Amino acid sequence: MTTESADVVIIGGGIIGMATAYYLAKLGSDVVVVEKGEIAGGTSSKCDGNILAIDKEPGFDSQMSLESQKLVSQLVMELDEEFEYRAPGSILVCESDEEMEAAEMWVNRQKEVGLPFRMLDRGEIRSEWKYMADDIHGGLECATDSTVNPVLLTYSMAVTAERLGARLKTHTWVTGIRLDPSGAVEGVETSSGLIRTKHVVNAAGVWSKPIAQMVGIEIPVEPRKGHILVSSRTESIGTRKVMEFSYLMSKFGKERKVDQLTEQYGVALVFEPTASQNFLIGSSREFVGFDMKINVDVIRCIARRAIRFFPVMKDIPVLRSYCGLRPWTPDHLPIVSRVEEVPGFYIAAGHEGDGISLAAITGKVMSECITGQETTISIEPLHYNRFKKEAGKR
Amino acid sequence: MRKSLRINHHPLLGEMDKKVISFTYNGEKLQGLEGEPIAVALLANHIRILRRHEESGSARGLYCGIGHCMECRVELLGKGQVRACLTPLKEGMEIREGSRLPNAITGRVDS
Repeated sequence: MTTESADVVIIGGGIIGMATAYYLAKLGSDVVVVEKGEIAGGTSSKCDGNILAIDKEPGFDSQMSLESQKLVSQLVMELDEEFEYRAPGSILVCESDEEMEAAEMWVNRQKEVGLPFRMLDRGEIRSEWKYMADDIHGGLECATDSTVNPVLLTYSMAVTAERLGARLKTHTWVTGIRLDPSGAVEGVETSSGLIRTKHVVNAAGVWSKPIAQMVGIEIPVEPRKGHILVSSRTESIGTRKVMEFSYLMSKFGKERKVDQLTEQYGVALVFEPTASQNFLIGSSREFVGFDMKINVDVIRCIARRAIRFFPVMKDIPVLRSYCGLRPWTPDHLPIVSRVEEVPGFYIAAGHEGDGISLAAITGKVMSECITGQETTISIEPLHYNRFKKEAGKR
Repeated sequence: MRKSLRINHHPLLGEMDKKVISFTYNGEKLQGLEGEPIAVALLANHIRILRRHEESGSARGLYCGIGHCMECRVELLGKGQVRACLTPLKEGMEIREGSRLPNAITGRVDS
């Protein structure tokens, strides 16, 4: 057992923790990251990889993504390793005239807050997507949406943070958080000893709730399971992200016109081509605790949904499938916040399916918040106080 | 004429007396036994390269033989990509080796 010290200890070596470590190290802070397994060993390697504004609630949520997109485009220059960055935009496609009307409202609301959205008519969809089902009514585009390999981005931030002096302690878990008599943070107890520090960031994602409980704070972050299918390498079907419009309904818990299993498993088409000549297919959303077993019924349901939009996929083998746990919060916004009751305790968790999208902006504002600077965007809407009354409710 | 690789009499399984059928591989007319895996029919015809890696173009063949590694993918007319080790041979099948493909994302065009 050893005792060391740091300006800031970050709990969690996922993409949120590594983004926070990178931006803090860049500002000259002495940072230690404590990770119970491997870097990007949890949710950050069991997801797909996008910096999307297209699926964010118009206003604060979508503008936050736009800021994150700008930061990630700078990270391409700043970070030491490449992470398969591209910014081809992304699209949502509609199955009916009703969805087209709803899409038009979504586009108008996004344009009002300054985002580069536009409608796509049936002809535009068909000329870009020769393999898409021909009954698709149209869709919409967000021109700035970008894509990354999430594991490579997390590692790229990790190695760059290390070069800037950050210390990464993997296979080390937190056993307690030490407070001084006034109730402020004075250290983190880990499986390999005490780290003295005045600042702790809880970036533990789906595991952030028990970490917060160590200092007597309740946060309503729950694991929400999602499955993803990996295709074999194949002739290109398309080069950018496609989702079905009703993915938004699934994400925000609204009613959809789909069969019972699709509804039950929260299945909606997400198509993501990769630099490896293949594509990822999602998505599903389920509350089943920390169960990480693949459910073949969900896989079948996702595949059926994908074939509905891309009939050619019935002849393309799925190589494998995986699932991850997304850190859900009741209002679909993350908690990026200081905790007034425990001076020195910060939370950067609860991004659900937006962790890759929002990692850069989260890490940036967290570093600004901890070092006492004005934050790039206001983080008042992300304060943990908003859940104080309903902590634990779903 | 190369020597046949087939075992016609197996000490435990007995006589291998399945029906002989025709199929094509990369346009060449070949014969195999009905119902045996495509990979086995090709191996009996001295064909070991089943696929060119889609990115590098290097040769791929039968590896695990039990459907798990996905290395033996061939193109079966009317079916798309199938695993040669798991797909039973049928009369008249038109099969092609999996080929190197352009990469639309990185922009590599040679195939």
